[in-house]
Amino acid sequence: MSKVAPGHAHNISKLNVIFAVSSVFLLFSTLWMIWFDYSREWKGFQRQFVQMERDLTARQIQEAQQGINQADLQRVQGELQQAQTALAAEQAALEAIEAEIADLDTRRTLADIREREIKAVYDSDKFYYEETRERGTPLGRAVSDEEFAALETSFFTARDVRVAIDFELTQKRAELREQRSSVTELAGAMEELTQAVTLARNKLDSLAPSFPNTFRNLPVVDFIDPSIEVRQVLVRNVTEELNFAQVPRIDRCQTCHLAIDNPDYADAPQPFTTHPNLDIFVSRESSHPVDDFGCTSCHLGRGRKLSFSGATHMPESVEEEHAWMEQYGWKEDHYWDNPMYQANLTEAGCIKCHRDQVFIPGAQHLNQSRMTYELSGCWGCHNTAGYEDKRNRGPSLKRIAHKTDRDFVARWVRDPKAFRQSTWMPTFWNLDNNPDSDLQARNDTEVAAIVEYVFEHSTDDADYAAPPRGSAARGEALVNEIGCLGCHLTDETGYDQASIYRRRGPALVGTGTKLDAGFVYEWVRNPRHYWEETYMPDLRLTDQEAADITAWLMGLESNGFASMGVPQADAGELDELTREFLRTSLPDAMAAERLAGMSERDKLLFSGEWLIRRHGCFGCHEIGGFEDAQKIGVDLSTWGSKMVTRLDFGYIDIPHTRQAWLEQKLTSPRSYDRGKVKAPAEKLRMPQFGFTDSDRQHIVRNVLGLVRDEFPQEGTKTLSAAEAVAEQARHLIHNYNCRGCHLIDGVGGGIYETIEDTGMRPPDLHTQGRRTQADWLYHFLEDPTEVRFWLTARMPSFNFTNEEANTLISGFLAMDGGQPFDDEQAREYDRAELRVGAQLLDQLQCERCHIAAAAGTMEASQLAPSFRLAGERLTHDWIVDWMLDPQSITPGTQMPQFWPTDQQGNRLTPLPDILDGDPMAQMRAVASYLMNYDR
Amino acid sequence: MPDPPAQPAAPKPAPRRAASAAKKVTRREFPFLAIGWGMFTAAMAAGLTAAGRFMFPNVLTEPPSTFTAGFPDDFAIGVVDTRFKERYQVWIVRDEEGIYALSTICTHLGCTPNWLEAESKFKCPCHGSGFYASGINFEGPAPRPLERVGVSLAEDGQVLIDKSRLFKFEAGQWNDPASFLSLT
Amino acid sequence: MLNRILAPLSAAWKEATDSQVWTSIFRHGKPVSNRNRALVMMSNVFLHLHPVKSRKAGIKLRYTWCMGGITFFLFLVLTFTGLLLMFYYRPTVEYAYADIVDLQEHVPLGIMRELHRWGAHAMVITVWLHMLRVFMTGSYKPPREFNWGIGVVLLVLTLLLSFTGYLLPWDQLAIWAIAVGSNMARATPLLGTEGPLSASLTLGDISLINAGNDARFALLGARSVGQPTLLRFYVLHCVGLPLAAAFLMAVHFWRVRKDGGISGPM
Repeated sequence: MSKVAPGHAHNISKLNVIFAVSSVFLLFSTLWMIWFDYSREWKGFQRQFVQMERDLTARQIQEAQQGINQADLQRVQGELQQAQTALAAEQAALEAIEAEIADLDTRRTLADIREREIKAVYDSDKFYYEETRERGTPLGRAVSDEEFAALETSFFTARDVRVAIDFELTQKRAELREQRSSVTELAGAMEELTQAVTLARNKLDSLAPSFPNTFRNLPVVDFIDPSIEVRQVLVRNVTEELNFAQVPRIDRCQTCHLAIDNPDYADAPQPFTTHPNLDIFVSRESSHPVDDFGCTSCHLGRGRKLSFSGATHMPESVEEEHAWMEQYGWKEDHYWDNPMYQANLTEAGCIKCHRDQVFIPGAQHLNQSRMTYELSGCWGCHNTAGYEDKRNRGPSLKRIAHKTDRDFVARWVRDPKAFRQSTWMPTFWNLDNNPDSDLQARNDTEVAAIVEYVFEHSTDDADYAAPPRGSAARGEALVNEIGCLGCHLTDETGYDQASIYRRRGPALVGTGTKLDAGFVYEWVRNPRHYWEETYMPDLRLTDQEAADITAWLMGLESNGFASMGVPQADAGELDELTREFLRTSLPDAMAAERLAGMSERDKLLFSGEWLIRRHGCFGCHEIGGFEDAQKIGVDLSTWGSKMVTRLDFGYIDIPHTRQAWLEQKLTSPRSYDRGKVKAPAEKLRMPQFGFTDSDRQHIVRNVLGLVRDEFPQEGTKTLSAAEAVAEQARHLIHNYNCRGCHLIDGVGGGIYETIEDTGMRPPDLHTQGRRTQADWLYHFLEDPTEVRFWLTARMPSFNFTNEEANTLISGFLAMDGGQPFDDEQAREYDRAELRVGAQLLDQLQCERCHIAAAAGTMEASQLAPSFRLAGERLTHDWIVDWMLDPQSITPGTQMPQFWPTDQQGNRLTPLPDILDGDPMAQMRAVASYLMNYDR
Repeated sequence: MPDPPAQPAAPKPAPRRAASAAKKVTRREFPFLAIGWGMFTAAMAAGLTAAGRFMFPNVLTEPPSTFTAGFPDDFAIGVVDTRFKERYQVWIVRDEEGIYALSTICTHLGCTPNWLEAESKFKCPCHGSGFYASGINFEGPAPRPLERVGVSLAEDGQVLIDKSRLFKFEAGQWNDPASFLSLT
Repeated sequence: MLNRILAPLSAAWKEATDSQVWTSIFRHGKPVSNRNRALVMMSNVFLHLHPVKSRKAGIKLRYTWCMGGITFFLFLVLTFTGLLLMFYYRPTVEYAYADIVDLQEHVPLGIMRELHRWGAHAMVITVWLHMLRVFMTGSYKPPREFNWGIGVVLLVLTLLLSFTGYLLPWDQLAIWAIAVGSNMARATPLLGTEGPLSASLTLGDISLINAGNDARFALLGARSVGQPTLLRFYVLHCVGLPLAAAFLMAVHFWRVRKDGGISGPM
């Protein structure tokens, strides 16, 4: 064995052994490769789903069987048998007809062949004939007039023969069908009755385990006709950007999410759960059918991948992450730039197409996220597409000296949250990279310099006169009643749980500590006197009311804040600061020289200006001298597409994802400076907003949604003309915070949480566009008149410009499909109809609730607007709509549905004697009468 | 290279040692050789099979062969629906009795005919074959009617077209219930 | 009994080997004699590149490491798997990356792609080891200096195959690797915009070497890595370079024989 045979270089026996062993290894590894390639994660899900489908189908069969009306079935069965027996008696006659048809068929075939033969010659000769006639010199063959006429005759003759047979054939067939019609019909009826069961049975058969069903999915042969297969959507309209090219989007998510469009699986475990919102997504009838949009257009993630991790599922929490690791072997796939949004942030995906819409119906989380983003003023420092034309987030500081005093401002700037926990104003000092423990003197100096600058640039008006005396108790009652709470909180506890609309204005706490009483008095009477751009409306307060409210507001003291030390400039630190700024443009020696020539005040103003520039205060506040300053932050317009590799995670140990980075940034904005050596100018500058968990999540959702993706025209949302008009109105609704008091698009009503009595709440503006006449609405917006006398909340005077009022009205009309001009005023009413209307009004006792002034002990929720206004306020059509179904217009209204519908959808009337009991005529009569109530 | 005519049957006497060394397979070696060659052949066969299977991808980016085309009521009687021609290569036609679907492949040489509404016929631009709305050929060189594809009702009540099933008129397959969705 | 089965079999075998088809293909008897063995080597287009006789030491594994053979084997593996990959891969910026992903996801035995990639890495290593061995055994010395030269060119071709193949998946790594790698061509003397002497090549106002016509442009087919580059690299990777390598390999193997067999002292 060990000896090398003569003539050989190697020991052949040994080579044989090596050959055998390596062959075995080769075979094993080849087979393993085939098996490994065959066994895929997703196939397991599909097998599991087949089992679920079988269980479900079996249940459906049972249900369908119970659903069959047995009496009907037996009756039809009986009739069918009878009909069949009757038909059997006619058998001979039927057979005769069938024989005739067969004969005709044969003759038809022959005639058809004959016709076609002649037609071929005819078609070709027609060409030669035309050539001969028109050119004179024939192309190929000359065909004379006679020749062609003869051919034409024979062709039409042959065709007539065939047509005649066809006619006969049609008649015979109709005859046969007629004879059999009763059987056919009954068989059809039978089939219809049992259809559900039959369909379900067929389905169950196709799912049952059998040899063919096993065979078709075996390795190697599974290309013949597999039932376990990749399911995908080819999205044509919405491409994805990949490595600098627009790439067709292919989403294979449904390979595992098998029941995503099947409502039967709403409670099934993942991945088989039905999409939670089939009305808007996935289904063919929805506005985002999966065939047009795919999955990853909204959810992001890697649509082509077929593994759990590869599809870049992202866990919502640490617990979920661990569960996934255990169940699916999940690990983060960092080879994909745009991992899926974690489930609770999914609505971020709406923004890319709906960016220009200020309000996206149905996206309730996202709408709140965008509100939060806007209110936080992120866009003050970070340019964000769509926010370019917004008014400054914070109040103007150009007249601050009249509103409050220096000491307050210094304490406030140093630590705003100490004064008002819910304020959107962030904190700039005593953070990770400028802790008081090291830099207290410098921090105080910075604050003092900024305050000095701001007050220096505040214009110098005359001081306010002292306000008249008022009653704080009455003031408090007023604030609680007249609608202030639509935009302001009076209690900060749990402020992030309050309606976002009530966080528009500052919380009314500590106002006495902050403000000048004269200012408050003038401000509540007319906010625009102080700041032209404010959104705060005029509530038409009387002098006494204003004085009462002022008294109450001035009584709100912030305990402890007033006793906080006022930050004072430290001479050494101020020199240091000033030198630092001087040295940005001057050599050391010259800077020192310049510094020596500056007074304390010079230094403060000089440093103040530099500091404001560095901290970007002008991003939110109007400050003299900074009118043209550029935003200091990173542009966030496409931050959601920013590569993770471009984010500096510093020494913070968190997952390297956009979202984790953002959460850390919002939690502790300067923490990425930890452990780093940086000069003051290099330090991170983002201030601490002190977001609550829910606010932070809202900001994250919005920013992650700001992506770069560009879609072809047909893939993006383009607003129709009406939608565009409505959109403009929604911008105003948003700016003026109408949702603070009203429900619009079913969303808003911030103040509702402070008013328990539903009858006392400001109205739901659903169908507003159709409800009121444009004229009336215009005047109402200009000068709100009383519609619901029992309400204490007042519709404020917003002092809309003509353009704004028009935009709002057109917007409401566009939202609800109303018309700007109404022919009701000019319409001639039939006197008889009006009389009937009056009679109906009487019988239905409408005026028990629709009254002009409070009477008796009626609850507010039972009161309704007086009919006196109807003629000039409402539209005829809307009144009818309202009576048809009040609940669909104002859910929860006390208005009864006098003309309800029964189960078949027929409308009933309570008064069958009037107008022949025609409900629509009755409603129209009522409406007509109401339109003329006052005349 | 000057190559002497080979005489395989009568080789020159070879040196004995070499011949004997090459010839005998010993009892000890045989199992190894058998295993070696057997496994090697099997592995090669498996590898080739795998390479063959490689040529058949598990999913294509072409439109699926079965698709739902909407509800029966979406189709008007007597109208040839050309909406699905481009993407799925079928015409869907509804007549008084029901719905059938025609493949858009001309039976002559495989071009795609056009539906001419004014003349109520399919006309192939390549060689002029003409077909009635029923798919029956009546002019030009096409030797047989257009083929019909499978039509049935899906679970949700929509018309389900199955392009993988073809029905030929001349084979009498148009009577197959799967080729026709009866709506009487 | 056994004979009854074997006799007709061996008769049929004899019939087959005596037929004109067989004899027209195999012009020699069984390789049992030295002469026939020599005939086998000479009358076969593939084998004739090999020496008829090898020195015993020359085929010792310890001496040659069989690195040349393994390299050639890898070349064959890469040709075969590469051929299969070409059935699915489309060299366009829209599809290139997606096709590679799809190979992993839904093409059965898409592992071909891994075989191709790992094979390519392995080939660079084996070529290097082969050269190391040739160097250590002094096999580059006359009369083998020409074959050493061919070998060096083959090394360059192997590296170029790796380089061009690297771009084809069209992922970020590939795009930037080629962007960086091809920048070296800018420094080509005379022919690169930033190379020595190229600035002096002017004709009046016309600078003869610019970013639109220099060596880097020739490589990329564009001023920056893009669709033309992908196509260029694809053609080079699949056709140009393999053909050149196959041609030179033939010469290489032939010269092994002509220069006195595999390695070993002369």
